[in-house]
Amino acid sequence: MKKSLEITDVAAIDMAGSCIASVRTACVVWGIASITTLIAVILALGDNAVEPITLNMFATGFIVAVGCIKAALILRYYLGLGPAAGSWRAMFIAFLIVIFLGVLAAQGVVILMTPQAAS
Amino acid sequence: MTAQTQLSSGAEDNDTASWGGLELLPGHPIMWVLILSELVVFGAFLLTFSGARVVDPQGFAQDQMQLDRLAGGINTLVLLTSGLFAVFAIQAVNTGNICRSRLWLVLASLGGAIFLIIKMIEYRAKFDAGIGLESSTFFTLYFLITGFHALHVVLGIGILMVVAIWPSRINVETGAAFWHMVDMVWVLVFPVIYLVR
Repeated sequence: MKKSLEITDVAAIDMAGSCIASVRTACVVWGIASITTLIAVILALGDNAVEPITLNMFATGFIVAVGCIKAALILRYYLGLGPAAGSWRAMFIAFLIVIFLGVLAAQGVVILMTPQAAS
Repeated sequence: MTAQTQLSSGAEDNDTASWGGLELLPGHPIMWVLILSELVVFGAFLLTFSGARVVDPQGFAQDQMQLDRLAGGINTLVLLTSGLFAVFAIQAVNTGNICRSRLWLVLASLGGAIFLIIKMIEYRAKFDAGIGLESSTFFTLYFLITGFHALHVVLGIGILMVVAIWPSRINVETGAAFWHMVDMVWVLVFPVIYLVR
């Protein structure tokens, strides 16, 4: 009984050392990701903009960063891409950074094209 | 040793051969090759979408206002919850509870089905409003990216159902890895297409 509890409460670690999140950790990750999603949707629905607006760099960076952090949490705790994954983990993180910077750069160009519209 | 045994042994050797570290990750290494290639494709889609937005920011902003952000947000929550169920399925199979693992896999698939229903309602609303694939660059990319993702959800449901029939540890981990990839792609697609403007 005690052993069974240890397996489910602590992380289930396979022989190779990659780590799949424990139930508790997975629930915490789900909670964080869900709350940030809810906040994002509430903020997006609450602006009541009739005319299209252009977000400033800070707001854009925040929105995309939250998305990338959620993706990183899924990578780490759901997919089990822990420290044992080494350079593969770094490659996935690099992928997220490229997405983040790419979207941010595009937004920067959009703001430069319509500077007075940024809010 | 018969020829068949030799062949089988050779296949096993190949299967356990070095995958450059991918064999250390949960599930079958070939699934990680697939996940990497899918992420590259979706990453290219999202960067293309951002690039196209630079060309016509006003048009993109106008079209984006017609998207249902609430439906997108609900779909994000549905996929996150479904991903959590897939984690539970792995935990169950690791503790030898095959029946519970099957149950979590079916529930995860159900999450995928709910996602598809909401997506279909969203698409229906667009078509009813006279918006189609060729309405604008924004909607071409919107339907292309979200449609391609929805196809992955369909495939993921199929994989989870097959894994639920044969729920060995490697099968469950491999199926769940694909499902988490689908989940992860959506949490990137949602802010880029629905929220950034």
